[in-house]
Amino acid sequence: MRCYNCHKNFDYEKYYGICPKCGCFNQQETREERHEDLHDRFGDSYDHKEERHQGASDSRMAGVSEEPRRTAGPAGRKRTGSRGKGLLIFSVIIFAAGIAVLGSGIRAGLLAAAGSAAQSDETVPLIAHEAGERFDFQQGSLQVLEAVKLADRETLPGLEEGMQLIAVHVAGESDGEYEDYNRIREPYLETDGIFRYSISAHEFEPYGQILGARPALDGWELTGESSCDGWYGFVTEADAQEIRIWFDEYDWSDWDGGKLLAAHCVDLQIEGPETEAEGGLTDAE
Amino acid sequence: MQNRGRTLVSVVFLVIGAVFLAAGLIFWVGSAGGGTGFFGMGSAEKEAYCVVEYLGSEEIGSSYEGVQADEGYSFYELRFSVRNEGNREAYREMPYLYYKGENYDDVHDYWDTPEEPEEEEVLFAGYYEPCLPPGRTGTASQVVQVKDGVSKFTAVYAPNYDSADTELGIVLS
Repeated sequence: MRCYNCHKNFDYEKYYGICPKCGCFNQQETREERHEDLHDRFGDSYDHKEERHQGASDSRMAGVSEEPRRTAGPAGRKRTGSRGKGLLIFSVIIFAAGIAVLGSGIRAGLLAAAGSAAQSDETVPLIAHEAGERFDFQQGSLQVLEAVKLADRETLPGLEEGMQLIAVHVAGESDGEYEDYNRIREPYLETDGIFRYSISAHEFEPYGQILGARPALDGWELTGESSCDGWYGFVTEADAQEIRIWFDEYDWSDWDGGKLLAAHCVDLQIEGPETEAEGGLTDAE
Repeated sequence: MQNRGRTLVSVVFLVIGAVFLAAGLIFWVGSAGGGTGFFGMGSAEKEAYCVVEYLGSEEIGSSYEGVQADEGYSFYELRFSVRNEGNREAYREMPYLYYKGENYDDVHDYWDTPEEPEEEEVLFAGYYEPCLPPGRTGTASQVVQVKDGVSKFTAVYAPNYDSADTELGIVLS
């Protein structure tokens, strides 16, 4: 017998089909012989006559099966070769994908590092407006109308010494959509270079109602509402007369707390408490 | 032999590619999760970055808010401008400053105060403390005790929590 792999002639019986040179197992019987063997083993006498008369492809198959097993040698090598080539192509694809993902990952990391704790290179545009002026803000507009002193420590003893409670009247409009882009970041109050947060609507509301500044506004006032008209509360120094209110305009699509686009400010004079401080009601009310 | 070489090359490419792929994914996940993707390089979260400038000082004298200055010291009020160059508000009007002079005891920024009766809780607690929004410049001041004869010293601060210390020259006016 001749080995299908290395073509060495050897004695099939002596070596049980195993090539003494390369170790390949060589089958002596043809596919048909093995088929007959199955019939013998299971006592089946079906002769496959009908199947043999079916189309040319079957007869071609039969022709192939009649070929000695050794002719399958080059075909087997071809299959092994194509498998090796497939592995190489797969490896190259993984390698290229790895390079691409690593490159973009490093770039993303560098961008994140550049935009992190480091100083912001962008200067926030600071835009000044007049009291009563309607200005574009995010998807709508805002209008800062007036600032009113509501109480000092004499009228509201719970206030910290030397401080007063004021309210700033603000009106706004939006597209009325219940979307985050209509959210308003709570404003800051600046007095002589000192900035303070606005009092949360939740804490300011009861005092605003008693002292005539209602309704209290919060950051969601234009979310799902087409307009709002109300008051933000602040504490500031008791002797402060001139103040500046800041509204920060954000792009809320930024996942990390919004991207600051601009800061709008309005200078105001604090009016006395004798003015009745009552704003309009929100649409919801 | 040729097949074996090809398989070896394939395996090498596969292993290197897998390593690159894994490393790239780690960078992506790291940067998307709020970090920079680089170990030990901080985070991508927005932060304040406060740059302090010294504006001047004013001598207060030997007593301040009922406290007598230590012997050989006087109270001074130091004025600063603070610019927030970060992208998030600072929760204080100024970073913490600590002072160092030629001698360790040139400047005291703390002292004992007379014990005060327990204060009642104020209305709107938390809204009195100044802050500094991003992109804006505020003012701040601090009172310190300075040893007589000392006219200049250094204030040291960190613009934000993971930045290096910055030194600020203080010359008393």
